[in-house]
Amino acid sequence: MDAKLITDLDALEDLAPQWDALAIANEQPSCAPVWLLAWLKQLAPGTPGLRLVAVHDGDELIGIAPFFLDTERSGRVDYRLLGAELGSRLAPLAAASREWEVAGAVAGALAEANPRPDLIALEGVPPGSPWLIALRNQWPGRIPPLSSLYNVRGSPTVQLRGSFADWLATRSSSFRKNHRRRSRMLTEAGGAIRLGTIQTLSNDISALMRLHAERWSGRGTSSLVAQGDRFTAMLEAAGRELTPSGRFRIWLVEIDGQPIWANLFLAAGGELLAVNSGWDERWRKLSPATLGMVRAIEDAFERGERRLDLGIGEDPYKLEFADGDDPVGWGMLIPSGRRMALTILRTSPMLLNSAARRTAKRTLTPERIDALRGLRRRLRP
Amino acid sequence: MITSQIIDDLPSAEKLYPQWDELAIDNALPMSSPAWMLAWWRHLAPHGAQLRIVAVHDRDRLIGLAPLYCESPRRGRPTTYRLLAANFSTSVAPVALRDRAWEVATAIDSALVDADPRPDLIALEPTPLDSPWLLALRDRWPGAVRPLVFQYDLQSMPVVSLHDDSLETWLTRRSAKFRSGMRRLERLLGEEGGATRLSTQQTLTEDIASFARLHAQRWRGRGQSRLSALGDRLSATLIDVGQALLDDERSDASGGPRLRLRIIEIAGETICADFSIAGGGEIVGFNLGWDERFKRLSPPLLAFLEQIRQGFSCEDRCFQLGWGSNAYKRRFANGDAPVAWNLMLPAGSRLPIALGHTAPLAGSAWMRERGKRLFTTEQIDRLRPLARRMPR
Repeated sequence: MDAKLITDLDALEDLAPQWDALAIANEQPSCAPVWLLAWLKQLAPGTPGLRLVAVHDGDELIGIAPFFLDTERSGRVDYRLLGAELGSRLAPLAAASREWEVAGAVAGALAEANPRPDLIALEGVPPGSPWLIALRNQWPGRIPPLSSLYNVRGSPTVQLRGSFADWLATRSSSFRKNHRRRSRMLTEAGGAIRLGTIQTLSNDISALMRLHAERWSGRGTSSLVAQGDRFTAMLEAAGRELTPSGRFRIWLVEIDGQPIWANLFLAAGGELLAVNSGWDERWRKLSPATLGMVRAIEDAFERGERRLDLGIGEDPYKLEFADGDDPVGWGMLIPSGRRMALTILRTSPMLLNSAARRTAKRTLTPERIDALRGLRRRLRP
Repeated sequence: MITSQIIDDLPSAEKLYPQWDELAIDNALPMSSPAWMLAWWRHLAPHGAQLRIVAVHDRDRLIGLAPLYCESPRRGRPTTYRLLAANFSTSVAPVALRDRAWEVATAIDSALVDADPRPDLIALEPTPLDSPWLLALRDRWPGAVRPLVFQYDLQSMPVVSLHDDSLETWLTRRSAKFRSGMRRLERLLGEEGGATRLSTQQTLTEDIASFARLHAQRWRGRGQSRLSALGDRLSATLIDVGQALLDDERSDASGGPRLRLRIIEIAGETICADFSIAGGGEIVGFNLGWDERFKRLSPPLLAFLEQIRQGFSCEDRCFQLGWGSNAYKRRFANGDAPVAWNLMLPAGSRLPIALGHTAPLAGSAWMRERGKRLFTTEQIDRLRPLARRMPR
């Protein structure tokens, strides 16, 4: 077994097909190389410094830990997973039953990486995933790294078992009745639901970005809107590669050819991930998000997919569909070394903040939490 | 509508059998099945233990289950809840429908908070390292303060991943030496007139007796076998498990036989018995016994190969070889699925008692980890006999 630290983007070309096969085998659409490398090229904070550990057994790629170097946060040397700021499910990848072995090789490579990591962040990983423990346990040296899983957030899911008709039958009668009524209204209004194609890709991405920005207007900051054209460029790059195989899907609801809802999905290995969406509030009475999502679910059934991950956050519209929850966690490792004390000091405000949030959730009513959130928003400069 | 209920008697637990078994299969946890756990409870439960299974329903459907029991309460000791068959299994855990573990954990916690007696310590051991239960149960525990959790042991568990297309493809990934060695052993067995077979309803009792006898023989003069020390209760438990798993009505029709008691015979005499169980694509090796007079045939290796062959034909995904990286396991293994020993200590007035009770465990775990980092493998091997002589 051989672990290699790759810092040069060009060296990844040969690796991409096997890396993609691991993303499919692990059912992790947002860990596909096309998606993550598009993010690295267009959106990575600061000067992107690739620090990807590829683990081979002979000629076979059995694991990949795609990190990048982030020195922008508090002057620390952070190793973060590619795509960390997109807020979706991420993880290192390994062949079946080889996570532990791969983690040992990754730990060895990271411990000798240049610059030496002050902190290794595993953001958006499933809390039950063995990576945090496996990396800590097998980190070389006399003192193990400090590890902490400091945040867990829900990610509602829809199980796609049986047929679409079976699934629809599990919804409440009022859901089904409203869906039929809204579908009729959409047809009467000259509307249609369609899946974007490679030919319509650019227009569909523009529609998605416009609707997403409109939805956020006056509601605070959307990190995607803040990225502006760079996010559009990332979607264009990924979409060109993945649309033909059906792994990059933009579903749209249109009225007279004008998009009123758009949602981007990624797919791999039977898993469908809802990445982001936007909709025109003027068409609220039609509930375009519900109409579009039901159509996307029907399509997923037709393709034989097994699960729809609605993405991080338990928003009410997601809970309308969800029949499960597969949370994701935020964890970190702080390796021992000269800068360990400083790193602990620098991360402690974040950890304290996280602990305070957790305690508030455990002790206060949802109304009080909402009131506190409002207060915090008003106090922020 | 999610409801949780504590089941404290065997007849009520048995009523849950079909739905519980379905969950164990969905979770690919054969040792968390009712066949395994309830057999253990009937024959091997510690004296004075009380059944405390938490069943979580969504309307009429069982969506999750924490198969727990409460150790006999003793003055000055924490009230400890453990998973059924924990000391008899390679890997056990609560079970839930896919993506409902966290929701089920909320219901389990609210039931445990009100349980009688209230747990001071909940042991989740030995559970798969990738199991979400420890974090979920800690996160969803009611009250202002989360329970303390710690992991005091972690053991490697070599596995054979059966993701290749066929046994032949899998064999091509092994070394030429391994392939020729296995071919030679199979030829030798054939020349001796040997054959392998799976245990059936008709042969079960006799096969279990052979397993127990061969296992005891293998340990003779080698120290104490935990299984042999159980005496007749071992056979009774395994027969109980076998009968449940061989029962047609209860077996997993889609995934091949649930009981994989593999027997190797020469001229009608059993020379090896490998007891494994299966469910949800996972084959879990429990233990084996073999006759040393047939050492030249390496019966354990032949039994493993047969289990793997059967796994491929039943489209299983993985064969767990049990804890510890023994050399014979490493010859087959192409992966590792470690298991962890975890403790959860809810806050409360009795927390100091639980802390006092677990402190030596935590201390020894800390020492072991430091030891592994500070000393070489040879130094550790030299230190082991010394540690064994120390009073416990």
